[in-house]
Amino acid sequence: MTSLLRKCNTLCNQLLKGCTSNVSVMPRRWLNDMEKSTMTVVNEDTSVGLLINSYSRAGFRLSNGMMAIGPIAIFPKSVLSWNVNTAEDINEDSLSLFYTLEPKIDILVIGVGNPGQQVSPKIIQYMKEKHISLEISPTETACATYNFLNAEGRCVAGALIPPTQYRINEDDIASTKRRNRELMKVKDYEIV
Amino acid sequence: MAASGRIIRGISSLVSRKFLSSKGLFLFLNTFFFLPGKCCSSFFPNKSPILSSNAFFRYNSTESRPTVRKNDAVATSGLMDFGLYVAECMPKYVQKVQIVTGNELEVLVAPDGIVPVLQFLKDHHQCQFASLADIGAMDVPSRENRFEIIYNLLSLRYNSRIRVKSYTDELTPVDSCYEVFKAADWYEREIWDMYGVFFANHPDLRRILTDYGFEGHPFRKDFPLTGYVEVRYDDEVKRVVVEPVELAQEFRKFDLSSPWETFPNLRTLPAGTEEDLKATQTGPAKQ
Repeated sequence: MTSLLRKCNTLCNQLLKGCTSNVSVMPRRWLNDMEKSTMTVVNEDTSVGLLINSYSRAGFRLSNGMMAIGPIAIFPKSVLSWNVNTAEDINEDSLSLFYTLEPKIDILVIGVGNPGQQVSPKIIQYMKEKHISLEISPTETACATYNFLNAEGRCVAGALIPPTQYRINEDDIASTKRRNRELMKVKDYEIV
Repeated sequence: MAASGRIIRGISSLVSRKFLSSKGLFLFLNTFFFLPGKCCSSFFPNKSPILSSNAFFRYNSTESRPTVRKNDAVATSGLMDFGLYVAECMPKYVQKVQIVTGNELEVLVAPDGIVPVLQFLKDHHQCQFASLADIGAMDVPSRENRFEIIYNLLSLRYNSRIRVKSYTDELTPVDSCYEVFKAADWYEREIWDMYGVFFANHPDLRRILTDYGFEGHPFRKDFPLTGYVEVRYDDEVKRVVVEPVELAQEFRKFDLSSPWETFPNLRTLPAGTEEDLKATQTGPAKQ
């Protein structure tokens, strides 16, 4: 009985060894570069203009490393601070910048902050008269919308108010810690 | 025995005697072809037995519409009983129960009662409609509450489906059933985008199918088929511009009535059965 078990054991070991020795898989040779799957992170592409990397209660981090604090008006090539408190305070004067700009933008993405906020319907009508489409949504989704509309190359501007309530997941906490650690790290050449 | 002799002689002309001895053939035929208890001579007229084998498949039938699904009266009555049970359990909200097209149960509810009824249908042990198959909407502009919201549920446990219908108009919001069925997320977004029905307490109600600057709700009956705007690439400004739609040919509507009837077998369909709830309700009358 024990000899049988011992034989089983050795057989299993041999099988496992056989499996592990074949673990290095030969990579399939691609005929040309076109067949490979590639993935590009849009935010790392600097040619499309300014994109939003992350948002917080304070402001927004942009793809060129800049941090913009408070409500912002963001364009493909520039970002400005926006003089507005909450979504209800948006009036025709607040949006005057967007319709006086040349070339005329197609879509204005408005991020109202928290999901429940309302925007006064008068300005929706007003912007419709100026032939600018509005896309009103909470800031979390408005940032993403602005990002990929910009990446597509459409004439879009963003008017974003930082949200006060949002969900955080572990990935956010980890990346913030990583960034803080980079900040706190003393560079070698600074030690004198 | 004489008939079986005839079979063997007939078939052996096709099957070489080397493959099957007469005894083996007899046994083979006995097991596969002979109906139990029937005299074999009645199956075999004087013609060749192989050619007349289609006699096996001829039967007497009074079936006049073989391709139309038959109505199972027992199942239908059971379904109606279940529908009345649901109405008895939720008398405040359920307004009507009906069976359409023979075997589909529909429960019509007031808009306040959508979430309670859906929660009941999902959680109740005799219902267990845990799967939300679809949410659709229907626009009937002539009604006061022009939109009908339709929830299709499936019970995997009892292998049955049910439809919950409610109504609303353009301005009244409807409670989102996201808390009950997570699948309702995108379906309700689609109804908001296509019809303009607002869902309260939805986690993220925004457009899903239409383009970002799109105005209007396309599935409404007053929205034209070709829309209001068209997009084209303008070389002068080097981007896509949005302009009012211009059709090269005016819109033609083909309203032919064909001289041939398209579905003659369905000339008379079984009518949908309704049960008058007031007569069966023992609890407080519905509003």
